[in-house]
Amino acid sequence: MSSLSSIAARNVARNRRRSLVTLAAVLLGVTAVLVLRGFIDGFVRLMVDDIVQGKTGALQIHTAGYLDSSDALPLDPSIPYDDSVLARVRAVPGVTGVTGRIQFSGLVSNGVSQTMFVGRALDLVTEKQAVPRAGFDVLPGGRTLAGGDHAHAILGNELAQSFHAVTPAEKAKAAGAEGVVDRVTLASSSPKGRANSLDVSVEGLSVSSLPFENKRVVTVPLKLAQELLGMEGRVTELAVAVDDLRNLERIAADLRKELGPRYEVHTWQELQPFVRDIISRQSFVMGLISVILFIIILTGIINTMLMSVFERVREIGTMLAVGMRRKQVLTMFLVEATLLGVLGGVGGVLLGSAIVRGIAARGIPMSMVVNSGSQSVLRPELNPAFMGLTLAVAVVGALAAAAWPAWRASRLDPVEALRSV
Amino acid sequence: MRAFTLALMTLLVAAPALAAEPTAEELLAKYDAVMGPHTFETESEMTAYREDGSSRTYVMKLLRGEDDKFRVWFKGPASVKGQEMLRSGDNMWVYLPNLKRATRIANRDSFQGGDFNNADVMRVNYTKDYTAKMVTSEVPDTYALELKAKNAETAYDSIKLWLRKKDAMPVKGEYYGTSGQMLRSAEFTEYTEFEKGYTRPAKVVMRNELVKARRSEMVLKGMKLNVEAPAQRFTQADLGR
Repeated sequence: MSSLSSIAARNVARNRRRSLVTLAAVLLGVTAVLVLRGFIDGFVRLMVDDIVQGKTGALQIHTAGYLDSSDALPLDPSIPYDDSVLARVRAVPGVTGVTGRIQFSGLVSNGVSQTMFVGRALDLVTEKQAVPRAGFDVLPGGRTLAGGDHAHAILGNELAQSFHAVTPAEKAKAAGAEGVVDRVTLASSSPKGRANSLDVSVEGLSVSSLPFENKRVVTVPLKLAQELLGMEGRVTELAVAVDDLRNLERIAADLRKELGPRYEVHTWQELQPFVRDIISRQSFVMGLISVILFIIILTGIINTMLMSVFERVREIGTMLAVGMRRKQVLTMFLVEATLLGVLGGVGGVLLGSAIVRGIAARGIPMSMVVNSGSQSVLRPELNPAFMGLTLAVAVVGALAAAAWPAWRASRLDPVEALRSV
Repeated sequence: MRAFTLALMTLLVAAPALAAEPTAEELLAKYDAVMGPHTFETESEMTAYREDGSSRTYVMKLLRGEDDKFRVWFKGPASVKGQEMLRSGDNMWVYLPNLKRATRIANRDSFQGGDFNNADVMRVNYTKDYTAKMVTSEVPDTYALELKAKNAETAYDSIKLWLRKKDAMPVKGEYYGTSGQMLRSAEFTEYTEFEKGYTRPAKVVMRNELVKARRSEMVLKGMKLNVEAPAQRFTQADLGR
């Protein structure tokens, strides 16, 4: 067996060009799959981070039936925002933070024109407990809202642009420019229909990868929204942070049990079906590309092995003639294929992870990719399990691809084989 | 003796009216009688001027029945032709002919995208929703009333109304949100005697105080009082017929 392996190894080394082509096919295929997967994983991580750590939180609590009519942003029924409710949420094991919000709609105007907006009112004292990266979406030149703010707002950047709304500092710079404002009026109405309006100053502009958020969203302090809507001491939404996203379903179930039928608890995947769809679409595309790449790898190996069988008919004849068993011939060819698969696979894993690590170390600013001014940095990442799988598929694939040529070689008639040219 | 009692009673009842200064409640009741008589039918046009310089004129027929019931039929422009609105008590619906369905609407919702809201058009009686207080008027020859909402369901938190001293006709109004910010202001003009003994402003200009370039004008082309308004006309089932 060991002599068989060394013959196989020498065969691989002897047919240098052919082996190199196969090695290259396996190596490039594995590298490509790893790098692609690295980018997609990095991108998914980025989106999940933005959403879980910066926007929705890991879990959200609403009154029962809220999500079914969430497009209408209903204000009624609302959730009492007091210590007893918060204590009940915090008591659930795995919950690390909770904050209250109001999602509402209304008309925003700059005195000249008006348009619909979607208001996000945040309790700025506790917001960071539930979404540690809150405020990450505020563009440079503005500031994030803080605990003491009241009549202050962050506007979606496209909304601000269309309104000629800028931060007070920018307005001072553009002194005298026609129609530039640093204050806007938010008008909305109470759950019972009482109209109200309040002026807020523009403290910053926010950017999002979701176009709707750039055009529509206005972020304000919770107290301001409660005053505007006549909802003192109430919220429409509680955002919850958890210690480990892998425990998400368990914690959600515990919260449901704790809060009872009057409330509903949703995970970020349920709250952001858009993102969930993007992720599942990406993994589908990823799977498709992987399959194509593997087919390319396999055809390379089949090709090489078939060629070595056809080119080495006389050689095989000789080996059979000097007493080599058909089984041994079969094994020899399979070992050759395994060698190629392992070498190419390991090389590909090394090269691929080196590329991924290199890019991850530098990071790719998302502003370059989506041209949105986003502050996030894309860092492709390696998934050890996926690396192992890729390596295994490369080796097993190489073996499978060599099976038929090897079998053919072992079935040759020595007399015929020796005679062939 | 009997005649004397009657005369005395008449005098007693009529006495406040003869007094120089009417009370706030009386003025508000007068406003309600002018702007929202018992039952009536009007042909009106509302022109909404938008901030982009465009304008649109809606032609409609409005019928008021007893007990706070309203119907509106839109006749033009083509895009809203066939639309109807219904108010019955605290509930309002809009009927869309292409959907053949009635959708609930709220007091605060804009009336056909203009600067009147639904309550401004279909909830015209203030006595029920607001308490009135007399304040000093800075407009000559007018009384000024300050109206404060009685409950949380009204469209505005407070309203300021100016009424002419000589005949209690409304001159202008200002409408405020809870924060005290003025949301809308109205001007009442073209006082017209539609029926003998019944005069009202035929034109109301509602300005959007948040977006100064926006305003809507409601012009009454004709008005008939005490019309037939059978109760079945004010049911959801009647919408679209």
